[in-house]
Amino acid sequence: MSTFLLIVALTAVTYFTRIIMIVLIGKTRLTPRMAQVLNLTVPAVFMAIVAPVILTSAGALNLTVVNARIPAALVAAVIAFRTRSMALTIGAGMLTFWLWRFLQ
Amino acid sequence: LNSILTPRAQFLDGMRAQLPTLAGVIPFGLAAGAYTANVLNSAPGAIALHAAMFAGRGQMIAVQMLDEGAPLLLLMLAALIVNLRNMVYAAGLAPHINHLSPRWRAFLAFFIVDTVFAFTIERLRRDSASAAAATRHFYLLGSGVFTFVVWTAAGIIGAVFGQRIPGSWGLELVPQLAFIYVLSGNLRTRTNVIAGMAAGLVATAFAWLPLQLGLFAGVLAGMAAGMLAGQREAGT
Repeated sequence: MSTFLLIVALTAVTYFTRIIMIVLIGKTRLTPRMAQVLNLTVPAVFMAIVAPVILTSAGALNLTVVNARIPAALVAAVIAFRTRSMALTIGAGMLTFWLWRFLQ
Repeated sequence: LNSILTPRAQFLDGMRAQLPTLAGVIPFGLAAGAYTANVLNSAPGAIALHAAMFAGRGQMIAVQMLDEGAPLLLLMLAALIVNLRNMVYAAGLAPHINHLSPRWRAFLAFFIVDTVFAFTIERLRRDSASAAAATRHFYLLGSGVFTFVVWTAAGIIGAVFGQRIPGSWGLELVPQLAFIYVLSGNLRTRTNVIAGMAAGLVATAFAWLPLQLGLFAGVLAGMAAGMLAGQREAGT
């Protein structure tokens, strides 16, 4: 597959997700049902992305103490809820990750 | 107080609003650029995709699937599903840019990403009720352009020098932590928590499937669970 075609296709699909609601909302109103379904994509997509990266190694569940991503994610979640700061969330999470690895 | 803001002042304020996101955007951009250049075996190609798509998660997943030999249509489907959330953001931003010309709206739409939406929407709502309303799209523009420039610069550095970033730094973890931050703001209703839990469980259980099928299953399961929970909550 040519890189050019890849870039055009992926860019077009992504831009579609950005422009479609802007175009539609000018013409029609979002039904409450549609708004509800759309809103669910945010937690569903993010959790479906994050959970496997944190909890699995090479596709298999890894809940062992070797997996430093778990304590890092837990610390990040606590800091995120407490501080509402993105920089602190990432900083605390990475620090936990490095420390955990270092201490093993 | 700040009742009338010039476009320039709005633009600069918008840039400033994005400063806290640099901790996420820079490492994510580096990692995405490096990974993409590695798979495409081309730094210029990786940089072009990185800048044009301007959607890190969709880029990472599509490139990973490409590496597994998936056909283009599946890659497009993955990019579509992972970026569906842009529709939520666009719907939230629409009232603030609807008064603009189609060309302006089409241009601003390009800058819709998680962090731009999350760090602009409150101010846009506040401005919409004040004399600053007329210039508030420049706030959105400043945020978007700033994020785009930082994202692209990080991608270029990642694509060119990426092979020298040691894997032990765990940079691939940074975007996950940024998503945990976004989730912390989103998981505040019971319906969203149920949707998130179902999505995470199913995606983890099927993480061994090829071509990101576990991710698709997780998203579908999460949305189905959320819709069921939402119906029950509505008392029907």
